[in-house]
Amino acid sequence: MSVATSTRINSDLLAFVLRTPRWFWIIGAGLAAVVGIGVLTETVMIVVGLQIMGLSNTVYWAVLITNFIFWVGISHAGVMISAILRLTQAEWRRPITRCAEVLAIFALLTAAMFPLIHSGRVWRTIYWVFPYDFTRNIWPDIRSALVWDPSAILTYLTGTVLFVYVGLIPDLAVARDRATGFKHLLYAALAMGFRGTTRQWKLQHTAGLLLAALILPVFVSVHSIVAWDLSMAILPAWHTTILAPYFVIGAVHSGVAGVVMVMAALRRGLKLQDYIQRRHFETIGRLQIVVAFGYLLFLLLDFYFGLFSRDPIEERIWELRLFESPTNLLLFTQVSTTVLIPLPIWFVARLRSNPAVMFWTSTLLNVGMWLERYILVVTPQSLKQPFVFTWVSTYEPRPAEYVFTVASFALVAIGLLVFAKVLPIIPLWEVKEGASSGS
Amino acid sequence: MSRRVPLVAALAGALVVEAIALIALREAPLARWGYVAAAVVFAASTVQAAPPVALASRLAHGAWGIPVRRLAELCGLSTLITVPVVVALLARLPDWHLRPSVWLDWPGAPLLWDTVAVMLLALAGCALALVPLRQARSLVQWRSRQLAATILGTLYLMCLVFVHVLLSSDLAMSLVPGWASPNFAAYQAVSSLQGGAAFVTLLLAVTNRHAERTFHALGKILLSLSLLWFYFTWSELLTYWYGRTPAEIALLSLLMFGPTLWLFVATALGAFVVPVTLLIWNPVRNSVRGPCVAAGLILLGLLLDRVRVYVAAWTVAGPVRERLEDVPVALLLPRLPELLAALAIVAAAVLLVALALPRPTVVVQRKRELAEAA
Repeated sequence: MSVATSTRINSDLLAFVLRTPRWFWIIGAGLAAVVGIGVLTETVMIVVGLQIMGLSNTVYWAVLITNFIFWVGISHAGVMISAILRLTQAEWRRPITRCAEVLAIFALLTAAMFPLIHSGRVWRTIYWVFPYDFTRNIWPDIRSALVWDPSAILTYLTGTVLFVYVGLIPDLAVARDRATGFKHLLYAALAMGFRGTTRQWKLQHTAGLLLAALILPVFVSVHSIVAWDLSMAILPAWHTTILAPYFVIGAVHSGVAGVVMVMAALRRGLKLQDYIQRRHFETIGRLQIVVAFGYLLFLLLDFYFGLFSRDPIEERIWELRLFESPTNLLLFTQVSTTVLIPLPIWFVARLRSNPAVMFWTSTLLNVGMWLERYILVVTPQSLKQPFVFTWVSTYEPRPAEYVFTVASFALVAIGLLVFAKVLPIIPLWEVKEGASSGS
Repeated sequence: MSRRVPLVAALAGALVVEAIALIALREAPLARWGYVAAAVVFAASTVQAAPPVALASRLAHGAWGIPVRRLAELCGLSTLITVPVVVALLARLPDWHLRPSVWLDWPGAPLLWDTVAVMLLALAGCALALVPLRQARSLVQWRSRQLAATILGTLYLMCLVFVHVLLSSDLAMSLVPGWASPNFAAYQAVSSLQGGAAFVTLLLAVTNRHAERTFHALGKILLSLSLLWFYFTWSELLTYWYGRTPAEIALLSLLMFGPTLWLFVATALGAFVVPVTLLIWNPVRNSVRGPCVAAGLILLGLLLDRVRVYVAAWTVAGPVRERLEDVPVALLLPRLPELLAALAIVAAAVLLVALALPRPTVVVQRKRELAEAA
């Protein structure tokens, strides 16, 4: 690769890091305001109590837990795409790996907040970790899936941060060499003396591959454990063997769509058309087709075997989902937006390679995936009163829950924006490596 | 004498033995039909599950798959062998009234609709094996042939997964009171892909041992599918283990810890523990022998797995109840007719593929090169 090409890549991809456009402040302020409203709502909830949400005796896992599951799901595909493509040495991965990984980190951090908010008294979550009664030696029950959750999420978060950081080191060194003042000191500290020697490159490459291989089982286990939070309870439609794989395939489905949304937004916002090209959307669109078929299979299995069991409560839950408003509308929207609308569009190569089309189909898909999580979490609880097999309208989301949901999207967006401002969102060294290998 | 003559004779012999054994089993108790069901599902999980390997390499544009694509696609022909046996098994099922089914009491279910499904699979398998046989004479022809193979391969994969869902529900789950596990259907489909990859690996070892790159890629596929085997098994076990309802305790006892304990342990060793332990090492995975040994173990593990599930299910088959009340102490051992039927089904499927295989030109070419070099 020529020096001119290398210089051009450096200046293109570091442009947003080293210079701040005005729109950054406007959009950043807007997103921060939304997050601020969310923080305010949380403060009110701490003072007033959980009654500002629509929870009831029967439905006490609702929108907040839906958000938790949704964001854990989004966090999955980021690392999955990056790790699998790295392990299989797929050349087209180069410009998109980091936005996928960074999306994973911010989605996971956002997800981890929701069980804390859901607890009502955030500070009391300390009792989940430490014994709250020393004299009676009471500890959290390690056989509970609820206790596996924090350990799985923390392991995944640690692994993902390490994975991103190892990939960032060469770029931090480039930023260090081009920055001045405080930024220079910051990048120098983070680059850990990386000078690009052969040994350093070899170590960085090996560490990246090892982390990629190690993080894959963790990513599968995290969402499985989230599913087991539900399926370990003996509640019809929750207590089903397929919930873990169904959650994982759903996570991949929504996560890949999340990566496409971020790719399209960054491409337009940071003017990265030369790096995030139409062929990248075309290729990731193919991946989306395969994942969508897998998701459809598990969706149908969940439905068919719900009826196969001939359990009256489970049949009633499906009746509620299929025939009673508003749940049937939500289910119809879910199936339409996750499978019926995007699949035919993605089958057309010209549409698949259009960033705007991919952005909007992926956005629709994620709306559907959020609804899917909501239906999975809420409807079985609605029928869980003993000996009552009729639909009782016990739960309806209140404004506070909508605010938390919107604020979570703003929080992830602001995280991505700030990351892209501070560090290169497209890996310089990967793009250069690709350019030098002619891919 | 053409090399095909002994193969044709062996295939005809296997079919005759199969027919005689099935006739002999006509009045036998249901439990003995479990071995026939296990053999059919084993064939559907190995020989018939080979074509998706070709599809995977086509979709991923993987050059590693070129030596194996044709071999894998020809395995689609083996579906012809199992169609009549599946129909015989469906006809032998006990009274269907109120028995669970994914067909939800459709008229004619499950016999009619399951038969339609396996015939569709056979049709897709034959089309996949036969359509691309015509030699391409131009680039356009070659491209259209590739596209046809990809489309037919996708269709075949969809039919295969659907048939596995049907076989697992109608020939296993519906016979065991209280068993309604969507995960088991998915498990059977995924483990059949594992069996298909293992079968292709061994087929390649027989026909072309010089395609090192393909063996390495197959080693990776076998490793990831073996991990998936564990994941689906664990999901099933954990949910039942935590549920602990009487129906679930009975199911665990029947399928994992009671009369099938040793089969379950042997399956876990063959389909997961030993292959993963072998293939996780780069030097083993990147050899020719390593993936072949792992593939052999996987096939053995899957055979025991299918015996474990299907023989156990047919042993307890009976009137529709809410849950299984009595778990048998031991499984029925196979007698000569069911053993012959099972062997003949698998042998006929493999022999039909062997008959359709092209001449191993690559091996001949390589031998010629070596001879010239010598």
